[in-house]
Amino acid sequence: MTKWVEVAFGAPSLANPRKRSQRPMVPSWLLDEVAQQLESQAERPQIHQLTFAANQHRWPQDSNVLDLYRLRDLVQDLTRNYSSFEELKQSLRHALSLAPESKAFVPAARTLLKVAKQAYQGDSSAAALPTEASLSEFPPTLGAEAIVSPFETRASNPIDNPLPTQPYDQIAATLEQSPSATRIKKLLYAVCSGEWSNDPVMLGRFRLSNLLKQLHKMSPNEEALHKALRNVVVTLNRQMEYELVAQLIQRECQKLYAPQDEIAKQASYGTAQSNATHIDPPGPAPSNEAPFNSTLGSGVDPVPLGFYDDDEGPEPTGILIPGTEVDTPVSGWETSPNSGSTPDTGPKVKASPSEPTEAWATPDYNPSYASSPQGDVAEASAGTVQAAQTLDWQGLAELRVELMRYANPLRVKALMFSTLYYPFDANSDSDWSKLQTETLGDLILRLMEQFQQHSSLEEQLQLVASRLMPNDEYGNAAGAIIRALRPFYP
Amino acid sequence: MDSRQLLKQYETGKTNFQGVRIRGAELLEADLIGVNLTKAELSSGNLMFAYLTRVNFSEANLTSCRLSGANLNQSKLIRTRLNSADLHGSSLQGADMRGAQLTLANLLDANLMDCDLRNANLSGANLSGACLRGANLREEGSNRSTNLRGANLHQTDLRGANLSGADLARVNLSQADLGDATLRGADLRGADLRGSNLSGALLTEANLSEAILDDASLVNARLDRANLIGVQASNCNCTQATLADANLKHGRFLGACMVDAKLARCDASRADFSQADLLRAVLSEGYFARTNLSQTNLTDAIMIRAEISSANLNGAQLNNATMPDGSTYRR
Repeated sequence: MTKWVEVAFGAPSLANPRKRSQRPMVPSWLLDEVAQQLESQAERPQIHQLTFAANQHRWPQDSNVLDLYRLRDLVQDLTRNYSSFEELKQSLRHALSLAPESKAFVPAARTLLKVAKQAYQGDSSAAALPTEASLSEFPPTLGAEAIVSPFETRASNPIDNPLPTQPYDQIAATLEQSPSATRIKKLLYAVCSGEWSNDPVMLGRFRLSNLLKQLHKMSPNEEALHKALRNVVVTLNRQMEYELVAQLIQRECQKLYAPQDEIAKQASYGTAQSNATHIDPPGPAPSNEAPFNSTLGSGVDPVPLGFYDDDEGPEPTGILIPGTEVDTPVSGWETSPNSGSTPDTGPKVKASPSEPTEAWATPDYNPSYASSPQGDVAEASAGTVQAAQTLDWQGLAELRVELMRYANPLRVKALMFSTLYYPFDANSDSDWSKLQTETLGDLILRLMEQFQQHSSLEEQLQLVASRLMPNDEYGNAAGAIIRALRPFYP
Repeated sequence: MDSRQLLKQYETGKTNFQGVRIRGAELLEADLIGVNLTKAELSSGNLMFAYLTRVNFSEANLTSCRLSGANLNQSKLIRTRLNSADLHGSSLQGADMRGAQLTLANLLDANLMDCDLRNANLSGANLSGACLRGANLREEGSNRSTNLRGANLHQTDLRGANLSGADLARVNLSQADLGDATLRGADLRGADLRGSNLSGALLTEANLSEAILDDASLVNARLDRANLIGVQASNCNCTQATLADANLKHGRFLGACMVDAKLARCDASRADFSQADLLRAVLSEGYFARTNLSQTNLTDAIMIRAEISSANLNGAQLNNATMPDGSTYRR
């Protein structure tokens, strides 16, 4: 009987070829030296856990699993995933936030930075910072609560603004009358921010009218609005309920997209100034406003694999519970700018957090890609989407048929899951639950979004398959995926 | 007998295990190809990733079994009890599942291509992402049809499946692929068919009253004599669809594309077609009492003997349309 084993996924599975291409590989001897120094540290166990968390964006729950990962491989992954010393620091800061008792891990983080700095010798951020200065950012008193994500920071500064919001106020007033007002707000918040919240305090910080304004800004036309709402609704465990909520929002927002003369008629009671805001989606936010798009544009917001509305308690769907589930398969719920791991090559335009990206402004903008695991809006709209775009609805159906015909559907899913996120553990109920939240079709699309080139997809699938047991079954699954997806790549 | 003994005997060449009783059998990844397990008691067993092709499980009890990833291609599951079984990502291609009990079973992403599911009970089953291409779910005999009540068929691939007379009332079929499927006389009352593909589907005499077909594709679909009372079909694509003698009363077809659609003799009284594209559509002898045809495109449409006297035609484009009296509309 063959048992599934979680094997050490070394550098290749966690590495980021894009970043590898931006930065020369760290020589093997240097990695050995860094790893050796870390091995000899008193805080070695904590360092091991931190490197794991920084790479995998989850805290290791099981020491047996952790033991499968060699410290040297994890350090190599760190140098590949984080191209600058600054990024490495960010990732550790985030890793600390995942730790059960972050204070206890601060000394280890400092030591890790101190030693790992050697691998970043050519990096200006590492050179510019004297060791102690760089480490001072991890004061001994630092706790998880001190590590505030950009989104949380933004949330503490409500986005209320002095600009006229009359059409939005009108719609908000109508929506607030609805018995589903809370759900409306949750859904709008999720669409605008890319994350789900059931926290009434958090939601209370945002005015419905401002969320509507943001939604209008994101959606240049009704179709885009429909897609933006739909993309979130399909990730929810209460789709039917939220579908109705989405329809309600869509219906109320129709007036924002109505022809100008109708709008003028509707707004005849308003001021001339407010009429202008009715017709065009609002432009880039003024500097005193902290809108959602500034963060989304920066590509740091993650991707919801599945949102969870805990109003009525959990359902046995295994959908992730953002905020409470640390052990998430998506490199995404975290808000570290470096949390995304994009194992692919291609042009990359880093958007400034303070200005909307070009992609944000284009009519073809698709919010689902903005919140993709890569977390890079510009890249998603410019390049990564292309492979997935060649796949129409019919094509996806044919692909599923081909995969089901020539491979075991569950092996295919587990392999895709392991390639996208982390090694699937057949003994983990949590991993089974997560695997059930995504259909084969969803995983195919994610895989195509993540791998822009067929060669890199092929390389990664074969590598991951060779490390899952039974090899032959997963090798067969890898072959089937590679063959089936080839026609959809240039 | 326990699981180990069964495997051992199979290794020695025994294949007939009819009526064997092993509750909670531990048969993970077991190779039992071609064995006879008719009337076996294997409930709550673990058969994950097991190789079970051509196994005869007829009338066996596999209730609550873990069968995810199992290969059951061409197996016989006639009247097998599979209630609450986990068949996530399993392969059941060409399996004979007539009369199988699959209530609340999990068939997520399962391969059910060419399966015979006549008279099977799939009520409350999760078939999301499952592929049922070429599967047979048609009604057999009077009052004996595949039961899919409360099943989740979201994104399910039912292309070419035979669902004649199947009970699909209020079933979630959103984004399902029903292209070229046979749904003759199927009960689809209140079904959620949003964004589904029904291109080329045969829906003759199907009951679609109160169904939701928004954004669905019904290109070339046959809906003759279908009941579409109160259907919601905004923005659906009915290009070249046949709706002759169909009942469309109170239906909502806002912004629908009905180019070259055939609506002869249909009853569309009080239906709403505003902004629909009815270019070259055939509406002859149709009944359009108080029908909203405002802002529609009726260019080149044929409306011979259609009753449109009380219809709302405000803003409709009627260029070259053949009017009820046989005349051609000219601006």
